Amino acid sequence: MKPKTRRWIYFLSGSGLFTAAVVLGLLALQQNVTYFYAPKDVVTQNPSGKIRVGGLVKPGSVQRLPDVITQFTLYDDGGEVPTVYQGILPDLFREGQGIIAEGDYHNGTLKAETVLAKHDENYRPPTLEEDYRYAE
Amino acid sequence: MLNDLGNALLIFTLISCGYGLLKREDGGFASYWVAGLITAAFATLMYAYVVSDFSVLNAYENSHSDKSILYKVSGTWGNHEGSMLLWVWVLAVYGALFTWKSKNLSKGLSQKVIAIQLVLTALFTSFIFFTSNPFVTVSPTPAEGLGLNPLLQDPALAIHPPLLYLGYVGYSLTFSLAVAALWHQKKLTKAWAKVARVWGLVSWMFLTLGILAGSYWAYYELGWGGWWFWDPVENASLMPWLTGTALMHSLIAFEKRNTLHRWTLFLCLITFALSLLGTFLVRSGILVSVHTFAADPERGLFILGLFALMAGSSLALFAARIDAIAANQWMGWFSREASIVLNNLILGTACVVVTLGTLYPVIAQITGSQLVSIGPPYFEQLITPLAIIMFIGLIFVPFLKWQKTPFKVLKAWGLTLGVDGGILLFMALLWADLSWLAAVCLALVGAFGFVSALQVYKAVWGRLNLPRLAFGLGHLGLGVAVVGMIISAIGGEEKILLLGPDESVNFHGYTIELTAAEAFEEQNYLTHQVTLLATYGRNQVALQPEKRFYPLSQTVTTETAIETRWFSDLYVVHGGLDEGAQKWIIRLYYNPMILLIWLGGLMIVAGGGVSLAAQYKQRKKA
Repeated sequence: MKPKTRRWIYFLSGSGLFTAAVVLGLLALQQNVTYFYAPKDVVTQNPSGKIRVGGLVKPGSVQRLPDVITQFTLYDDGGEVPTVYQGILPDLFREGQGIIAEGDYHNGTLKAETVLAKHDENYRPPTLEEDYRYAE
Repeated sequence: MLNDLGNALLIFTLISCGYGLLKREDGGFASYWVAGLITAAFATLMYAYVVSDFSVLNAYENSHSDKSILYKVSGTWGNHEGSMLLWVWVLAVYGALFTWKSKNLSKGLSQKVIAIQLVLTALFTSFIFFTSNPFVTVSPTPAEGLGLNPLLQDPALAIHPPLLYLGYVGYSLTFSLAVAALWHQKKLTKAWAKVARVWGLVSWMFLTLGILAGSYWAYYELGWGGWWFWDPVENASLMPWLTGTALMHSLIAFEKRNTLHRWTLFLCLITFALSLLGTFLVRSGILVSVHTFAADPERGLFILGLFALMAGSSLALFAARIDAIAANQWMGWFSREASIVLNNLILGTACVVVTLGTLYPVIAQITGSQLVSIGPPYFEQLITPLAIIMFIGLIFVPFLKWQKTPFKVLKAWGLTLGVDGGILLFMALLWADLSWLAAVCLALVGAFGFVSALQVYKAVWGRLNLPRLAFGLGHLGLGVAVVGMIISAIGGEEKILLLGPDESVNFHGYTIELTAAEAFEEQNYLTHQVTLLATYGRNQVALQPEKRFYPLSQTVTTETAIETRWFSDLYVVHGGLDEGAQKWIIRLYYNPMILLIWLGGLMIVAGGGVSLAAQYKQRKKA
């Protein structure tokens, strides 16, 4: 085999692998992207599957059930999303607080797997901040 | 006062860089000066922290006189400005170290390396001076500082940034070496590869240690039970680590077989570019992460500009000049150099995957389509098959020879390993009813660990063979770490429950009883602690997880309690009071073999150290 042929083989197999990685990567991205919704968007667009909702915890909606399950409603000026979460809520979770819940949205209920609350004033990641502005 | 001194030192640094660039034969001298000046500037800032001089804005915002001396010192780099100063300090020190140790390169080439290192130092010093200056005066001087983020008051986190930067920034030298070679326009030599190998290895060891310290911190401090979250900032350190690992291997092929010139040079450039990208991602605050300090678009743009300048100009130079300085060397399909090509392809692909997943939300946000986030499943889905391919390849590596491996050797080993792997697979399937995927992975890694351990044995039995020991130890460490990852992932258990006083629960062979719940006031925080008595067999141990409140910064943090038995952890988190039931929320994790991850990681670094020793010995002989 001539060095030139060999170089071509390396080049083609290398770029083939690279392309395959990018294509597979994009496919996997599509499956794993979680979109962000405000409660009003949830009401109007009625998405299904895994989503992220950023809203305020509706005062009076928080109900603690057995087995560390908490039920609450996320709301904004245009909609409400009933949410169920099992686990330890963040240290700053309370009524009226802006939070982000991520999980499966099905039959009008969000089954949250993660709940993130707003950190203190000095320490707030920017996109989260944007999410809140979005929500508030 | 300290502010004036600091600013003067930064200006003198810029002047010295300029001098070294104008009179290139004095570059080495200038690089010593620059290192000295930046050291003095960094020491000035640290001094402001230690003596709590709050006329320095940076110390005022991030320190407090009540803090212990360790966190005063580490507070110096626990914020944006200070950490950038640390960054430049490391850059300058590497420049001076190179000047000191660069005797093996031709004068023209090493002068060029020093010049590029000075350009980098000048650019980043001006970045600090103009956009992130820590030496800003507060007048009148405040009586007390604002304190440090309590999450960051931790020993592992105190050493995490310096280690990480010693790695990140060390790749500036391989970058400078590559650009200097392209600039120099002479054929690449083995002497060049030898020098690049040493610096690449040193950086890689520090980067690995930095990542290990960071993941260990995340494990016991965040209280989420895991050790890697595919957080964008973790990924930012993983990206240069992947290409840096590829570089370390391709430099071996370069030195031993004078091959892979183009690819090695490309890796030198891209690794430092990714280090810069990582710095940009973390510093710009563009990412949602536990690590982001304050967001400041101006700084982000400055670093992005530097990144574009470095990556763009060096890659353009690469495209224009590489054919003039690189040579081609034949390689057989089944040879060590070919296995290094495969290693590089896999690591490169992994890097593409990680980069894509990390940058996608940023790009989606900038292009304004929608706010999105990418979860761990994306990374796990793509990295797992790559890792499987890698381990299949890795098993054969110890038996490959440079240039060409006789087919007979391959066949014999292929057969042996096939049988071994089959037995291991069978055992794994029988032993615990594992999923096919987990069993295949464990069997593969087990076979790989076996052949690597064999290399270690061969290397120390009889005449000590350092390169072989480095190879065996590093790879065995990888196997150990991956076994820890797989077993903790498939055998782990998590449980959340409510416990009242004197109530108990059975969890994974432990009986856990809540015996006390009390609140204390400490020097700079309030804490609530529950005491859990964990009993297994005849042994008893008290676990005391806490929830702390820091009034200064109005932050709540969670302190986990961990009981280690062999390499497995019982991991307990205090979840606060459940108001309805008036009981404590307790989260329990059982993480089997999880400590193997860090043990393996340390073995990997030790392998690097042995390789460094081998290179030192070889040079002394020559």
